[in-house]
Amino acid sequence: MATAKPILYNAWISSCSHRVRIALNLKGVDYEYRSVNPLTDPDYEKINPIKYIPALVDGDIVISDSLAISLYLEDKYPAHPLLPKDLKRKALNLQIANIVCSSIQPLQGYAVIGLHKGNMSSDQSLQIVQHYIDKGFRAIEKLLDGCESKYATGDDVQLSDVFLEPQIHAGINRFQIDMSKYPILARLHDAYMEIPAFQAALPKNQPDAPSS
Amino acid sequence: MAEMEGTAKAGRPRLYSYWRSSCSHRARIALNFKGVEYEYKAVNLLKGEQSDPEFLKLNPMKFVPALVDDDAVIGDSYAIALYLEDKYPSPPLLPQDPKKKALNHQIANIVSSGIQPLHNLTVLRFIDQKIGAGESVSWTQQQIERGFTAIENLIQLKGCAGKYATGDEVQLADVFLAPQIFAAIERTKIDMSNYPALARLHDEYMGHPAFQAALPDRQLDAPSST
Repeated sequence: MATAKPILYNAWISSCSHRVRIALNLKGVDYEYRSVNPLTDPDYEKINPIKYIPALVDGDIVISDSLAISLYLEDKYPAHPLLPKDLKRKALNLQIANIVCSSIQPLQGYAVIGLHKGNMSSDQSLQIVQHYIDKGFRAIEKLLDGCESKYATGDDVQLSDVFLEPQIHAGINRFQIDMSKYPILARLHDAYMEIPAFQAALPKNQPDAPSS
Repeated sequence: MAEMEGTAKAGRPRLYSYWRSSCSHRARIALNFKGVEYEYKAVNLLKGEQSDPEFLKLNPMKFVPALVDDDAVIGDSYAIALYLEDKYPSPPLLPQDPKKKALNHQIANIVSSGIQPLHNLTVLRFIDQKIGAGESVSWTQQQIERGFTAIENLIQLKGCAGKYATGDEVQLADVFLAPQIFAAIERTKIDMSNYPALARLHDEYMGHPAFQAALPDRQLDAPSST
């Protein structure tokens, strides 16, 4: 009996989902894409009672949270490892991933939802997002100061790259971020765009993306 | 009282921490749990010491904790916890079982991405300044309640709780939960009757030596009681 493909519940524009799509693509995992809006889809709660996206269903395991999913994929699908063995470089990857997923994106999410709900003006919302992206990007530029490798922490794509690209992409495409202020990140973004796994994960290339 | 500058004892990691910082609290628990002796270096956030040039070199995000261990410099509590897990494997914070391991990461991430960053000091100041003075109070409560509801549901749903969040041993989820629950009770006065599993876990943590030694008011830089 064939093993069922893992299912990724996600949405085209979700930055957190974008990370997991990249990880799945890099590891060559064939997955089923299911688009869901947790706010409006009543059946989603049965699949994932905490209603967050992305969520990965792999056999009888259901995992939400992009970092938890990434670390699960790292164990289960060892092709293209995302974490180096060297403890310092591993820690740097986790630190950069956490700057994105704890210190930038949640504040961005808060401001986007605030605007959507009408609690704040579009100026306020954009100001908040840009403030936190700028703070995070400036810190990451310092952490990567002197980086001459092809990708953030070496010549192989690693976890930090998986988390960085969706944040850079959102910054450029949604929040008017001027990447000339962050030369290392700008260079990395260009490098990521050469990689098929990253191309295939882009929001605009997802089945639920609006047609142009 | 801040610790005096001095040469770290050979082989001992140094932890930059603020007594009341929830993220520093996680790192202190992990170090204590693994029996790692460390040097405590206080960074007074209220005095802005996180912006000192020396500290900026250690963590350009200006956050505590930061761990310096030989030539490793790590400025993030999640990265610190997983570094300690690799370097000091016993006792372990992550189970081998993939489901339980994933559950630990999920719970840790709900705290570290879904709750704490939305009510840390810099965010609250920003909200009070830009959105409205005093907005931060109800905001903090909302974030904690939303996150606690998610974790309570997750724990009940997965049914792996034992003495601790995911079994009978302290694991990564507990390292992240304990400081968040402590702060919610002590500082935000959250009504824990809505979260019976978390309330029970809090009592367990308060009885565990590694967790007790990590409590904010036991730290070198905690104000002396008046």
